[in-house]
Amino acid sequence: MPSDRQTGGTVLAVDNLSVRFRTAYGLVEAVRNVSWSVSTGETLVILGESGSGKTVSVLAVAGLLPSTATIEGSARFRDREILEFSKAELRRYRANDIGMVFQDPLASLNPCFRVGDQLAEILRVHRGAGRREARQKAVELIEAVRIRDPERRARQFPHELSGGMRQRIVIASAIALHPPVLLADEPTTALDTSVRTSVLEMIQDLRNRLGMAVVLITHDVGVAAAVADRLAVMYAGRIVEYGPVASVFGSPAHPYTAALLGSLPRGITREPLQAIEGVPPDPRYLPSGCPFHPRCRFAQSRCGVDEPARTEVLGSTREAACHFAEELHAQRALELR
Amino acid sequence: MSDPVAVSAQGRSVDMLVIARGLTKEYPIGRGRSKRRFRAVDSADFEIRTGTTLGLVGESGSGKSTTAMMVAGLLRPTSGEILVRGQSLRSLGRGDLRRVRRNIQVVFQDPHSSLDPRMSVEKIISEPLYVHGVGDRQQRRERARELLDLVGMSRPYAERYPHQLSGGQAQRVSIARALALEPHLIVLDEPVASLDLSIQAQILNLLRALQRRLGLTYLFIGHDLGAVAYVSDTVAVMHNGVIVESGKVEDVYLTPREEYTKKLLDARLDPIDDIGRYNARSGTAPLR
Amino acid sequence: MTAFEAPRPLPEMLPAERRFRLRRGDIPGILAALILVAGIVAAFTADWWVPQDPGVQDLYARLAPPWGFDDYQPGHILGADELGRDIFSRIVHGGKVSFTVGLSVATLAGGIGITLGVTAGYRGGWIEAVIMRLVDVQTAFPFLVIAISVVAIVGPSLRTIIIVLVLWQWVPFARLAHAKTLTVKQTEFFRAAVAIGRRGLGIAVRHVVPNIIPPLVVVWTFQIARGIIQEASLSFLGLGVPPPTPTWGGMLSAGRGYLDTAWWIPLIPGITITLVIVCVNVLGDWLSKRLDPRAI
Repeated sequence: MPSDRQTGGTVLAVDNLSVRFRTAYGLVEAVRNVSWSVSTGETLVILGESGSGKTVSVLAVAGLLPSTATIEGSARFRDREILEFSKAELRRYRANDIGMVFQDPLASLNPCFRVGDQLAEILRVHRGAGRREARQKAVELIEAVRIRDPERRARQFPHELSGGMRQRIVIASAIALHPPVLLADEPTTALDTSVRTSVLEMIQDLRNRLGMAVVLITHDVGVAAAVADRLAVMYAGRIVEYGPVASVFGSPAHPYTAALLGSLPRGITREPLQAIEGVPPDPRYLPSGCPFHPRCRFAQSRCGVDEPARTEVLGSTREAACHFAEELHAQRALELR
Repeated sequence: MSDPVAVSAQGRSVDMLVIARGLTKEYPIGRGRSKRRFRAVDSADFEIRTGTTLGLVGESGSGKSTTAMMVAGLLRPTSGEILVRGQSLRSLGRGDLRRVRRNIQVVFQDPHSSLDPRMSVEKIISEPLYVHGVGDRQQRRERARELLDLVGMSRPYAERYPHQLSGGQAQRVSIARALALEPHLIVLDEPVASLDLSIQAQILNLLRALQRRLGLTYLFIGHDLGAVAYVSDTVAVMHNGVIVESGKVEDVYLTPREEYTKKLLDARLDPIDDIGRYNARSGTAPLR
Repeated sequence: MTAFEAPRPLPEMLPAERRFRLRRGDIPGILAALILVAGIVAAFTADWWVPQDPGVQDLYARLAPPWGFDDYQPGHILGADELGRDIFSRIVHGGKVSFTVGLSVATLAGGIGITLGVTAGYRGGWIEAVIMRLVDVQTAFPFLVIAISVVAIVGPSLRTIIIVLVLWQWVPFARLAHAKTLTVKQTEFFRAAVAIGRRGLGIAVRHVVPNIIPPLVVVWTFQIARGIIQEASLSFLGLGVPPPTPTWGGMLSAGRGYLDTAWWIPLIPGITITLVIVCVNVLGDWLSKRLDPRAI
């Protein structure tokens, strides 16, 4: 861990987590042997495309997986095992210890109630605040998420607010009880680019002011770069690369990360994009060995047989799940031009 | 401002394939007395040179999709003019418009929603041929398979159904369908926005390759500035129904003139250049 | 090869899903379908295989109980009614009426209802307004009262019943077809069809209808069940197909007075109706699960 950061101790840790779902097609493995951790004051970004399993591990941490899921491994909040919580403990934990922000703000807010009342209710129910006090705090929260004229806005209904403002309200409700952890699943995907900036900035600012740990899920590489301290790149349910964002993007150690970066149109380059061939695998029909090998430029015969050890360590801060990670990294074969 | 359109007797070799002037689309809102009109598109002017791509960028609600639909002939403008190969779209009746549509095809955003789930890939691709009476059944089947080759899909896919295709594959089918009638103009409405990142590059490369090979003209709608720049020669930036800036891609992206354009360009996030951009740790007052 | 070449054909193909895979949850549905098919075939071939004539009155066998009870009369497996007619034979022959009414009404009403519903949804405007108001009006009227009035005036016959029931049953089809058509109109493939240059009728037939069929098939099976019940109700009230044709409802009605003495006379037609309805509902449920995932 870089030492100039003002980060505290580990507050959330996932270790060797595997989740399988029972479906009409049989047992489908959504994530396999996933391990990550996040500390106070830090932002961990989980980056992956659809079907990569990026949301699943976070849902497991929030205790939100359906009963058809078989979970193995460990997910700990401050040394307490989340997967062993009783129902009551889980409820308390979800209310007080984590705040969740999902992609669609409209789905998270009740259209029948004013936003100020919705925020106030959280405080009344979970903190036992009186009506006036709760109303007051709600207005402060709205101000904290940088909405101008908070008193007036508190009296409005969700549909009267723009998409960006709604998402801020959702964030406000997520942090209302000052949870130590904020989980955000694609919080800006549904927002316009110009609004995205301010919402991301605000999340990070709240992290600093409240001393939270933030886990942010996204498929947008640019967003990941802008907000992450550390990055976990997921593919086909596994973490393929893990480490500080600057080194993961600056000198990738896994062919998928490199291929992904190389396939993005950047600036106004007219150089042809290095598209990754093939399609992300269907979780029901995963390739043998390394899940990325059918599309990998560097694949050897070994890759179709042995799955790369869950992680191979490149120094203490980086991990990559590739048989040839060390060599590729040393040869700088994966860096962006 | 614009070059005169050069139209030969048979309508070939036109200099500007598409010319739009004062294109406007209004929607009435409110009831009764207080009926106001909402302008989704307000007096848009642009041109597309044959064989090139015009990229139309903007955020949601900017009017770019509405503009695209008007150019495609799927939406009637409230006022203004669209000329495709010198032919005014507004003056056409339903029947003529349908015929003109042979030359203007559309690729939609959501790959799965734009394919009829009950039709096989082959039927989907050859439907335009069937509708316009091109070729007999055998020829249509063969052409469908040729088109699959053209978009880089192997022939066995012809018997598949949309739900058996991935997003990228479905979008290729959509493109193949658009190519069936050999149109002059293809309108692409956010064609890669719904696709996974690793697939986007494939489709963008495909579009560029097809344009080179077949001399196609594109109107490319998007909100991702990078993707738009990659495919486009000229670009127009839309905001609240108005084109605020337009010109060659290099000019607009490197030396933007308008505030809004600058704001959009600034909001782009590059995976290398913008590392840590929103990760400041300045000392702001802690929250109670 | 320049960098701008189209990419090579993709290396992997998604395995083609097997179109029809039997799973454990399919058993009730298939069983129900088999029972119904057997019943329909049995009913319509009754003339060839049922030993007893349904109309023959065997006065020695009056009120004879089914096999296994005292006073059982040979030849009448399910017993005989108050006029000595064989119940089993009457049940099977009666199936002809019930199934005919059920199937033909549902199918005719479906055809009419779907056409009207799709037209309303597709064309919109005043056509839609007129059709949907018609739908609302008919929904508000109590069916049985109207049916009774009409049949009482015109006189009961198979044709009258079918016509009356069709005039009422088209409504659910129309309503669903209309709603589903509106949904389809929102999809991009609908716009794509317009973009290709399809004519309105072509779009309706080739794109709209195939995509709204699955839920409508389910409605169709449930309407069959309803048709059977409605026919039985009318027969029960004496307004069904007139005697001597045996009908399940008629047998129920005639057997009412014998519930404590010769319970098999009303009970057996009652069980038969119930069994058929349950089978049709199970079939409809199964179809809806099977057909829906692929449709809109």
